Amino acid sequence: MSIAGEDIAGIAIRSIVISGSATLLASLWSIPISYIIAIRGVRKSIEAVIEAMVGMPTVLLGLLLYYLFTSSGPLGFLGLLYTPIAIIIGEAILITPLLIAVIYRASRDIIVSRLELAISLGASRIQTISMLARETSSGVIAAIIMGFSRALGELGIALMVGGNIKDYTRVMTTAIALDIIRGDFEKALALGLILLLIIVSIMIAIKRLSDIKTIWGSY
Amino acid sequence: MGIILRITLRNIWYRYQSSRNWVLRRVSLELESGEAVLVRGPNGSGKTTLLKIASLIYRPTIGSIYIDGESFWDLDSRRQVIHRRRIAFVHDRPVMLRGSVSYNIKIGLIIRGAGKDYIEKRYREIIEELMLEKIENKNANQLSAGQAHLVAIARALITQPEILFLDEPFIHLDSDRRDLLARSLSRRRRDGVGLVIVSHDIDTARSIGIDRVLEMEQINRYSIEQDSV
Repeated sequence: MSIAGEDIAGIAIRSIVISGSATLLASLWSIPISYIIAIRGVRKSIEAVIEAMVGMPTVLLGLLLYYLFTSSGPLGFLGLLYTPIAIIIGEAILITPLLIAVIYRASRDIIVSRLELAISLGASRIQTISMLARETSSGVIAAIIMGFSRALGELGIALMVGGNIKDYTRVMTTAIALDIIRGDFEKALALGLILLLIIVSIMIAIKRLSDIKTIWGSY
Repeated sequence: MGIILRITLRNIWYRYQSSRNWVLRRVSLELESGEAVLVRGPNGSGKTTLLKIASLIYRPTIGSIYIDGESFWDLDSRRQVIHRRRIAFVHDRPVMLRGSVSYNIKIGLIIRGAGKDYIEKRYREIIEELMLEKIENKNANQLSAGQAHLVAIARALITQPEILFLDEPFIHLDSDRRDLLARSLSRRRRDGVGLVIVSHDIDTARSIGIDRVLEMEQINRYSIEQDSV
């Protein structure tokens, strides 16, 4: 599918792959960190810092990453600037506080009570982790959905470290931004609606899948 | 039950991370399979904390716990798991896992890697004994407090613990269920299972056949003003 010579399907797929990879990457460290702080407990001030980081301006993070990845920056030798990997890393960092805050809030009480139960049942470490994962799965899925939505709709990082390069780092949000700058509002609006449709469809699909999983988990 | 399991608490002090006050002070006692112990004391005297420490869930802030002569908290995690599987603890507000009642009852044996046939046989015995047949397919998180309590006790009994720790086991039960549970526990006691019960329902607890009563005021110096160790 293309609008005004732009491969919309390609942009949409690229957006999903980049945001999906960022969500997966962020989940790798956010889920264990959430469990650790739920088990060990953290001061209210640290909870407040994590929650404040959820609203971190994406432009600020994009700017910091730009300085890191630029050829004269500390990580310039990696040659990541204006690549999809740079966007993935940036979005993963962006959604990390969101994932931690949501998983921690949703799972804290469950983890504490289930941990005691697992210990008293004589569960091994692996069995305990598996039990906690099963018990907190709905909170984790909710956090992943929210993280993915945030990554998919993110603009600042994708623009600053991705560079909006056609057929390479152009994603839905940067394509919309470009069309607005060009004054092509109809195309921007069409892209915006497609982006919204993608987000809603994916959310419904994940929610339905998790509902099926919950029903299975009950019996 | 031939071999006696002995748990020794030596000079136990405990305080929660969030608090500066000691819940337990200088508690030393011995518990073993084959005897029924009733723990009594006013609210906030540390009965539940004592049970969680003795049942190897909480690590004491100061002091040692010996299980069959081994210092439990100095053991590697594999040995700790082996010892923990010899005992069971039932909370006064039991936690139900996501899933059915049958899953919640079987979980202890699933964790131990028991065979399917054995799990099914033990499961049938337990739900008949505690008359839980009618609710076995219900979602465990939709049970009444009394039903959840019996399910938690069934979950503990199915593993055939050598010592069973029960925190207010009769609290949510009607009189029929209380008698049913008392008979079940009494039978366990005769079979050589150790019972350590925290209960304000002294009459029902005594009907089990209590060997020893621990008064928290006597074993725990909780009333002493906060001091530094």
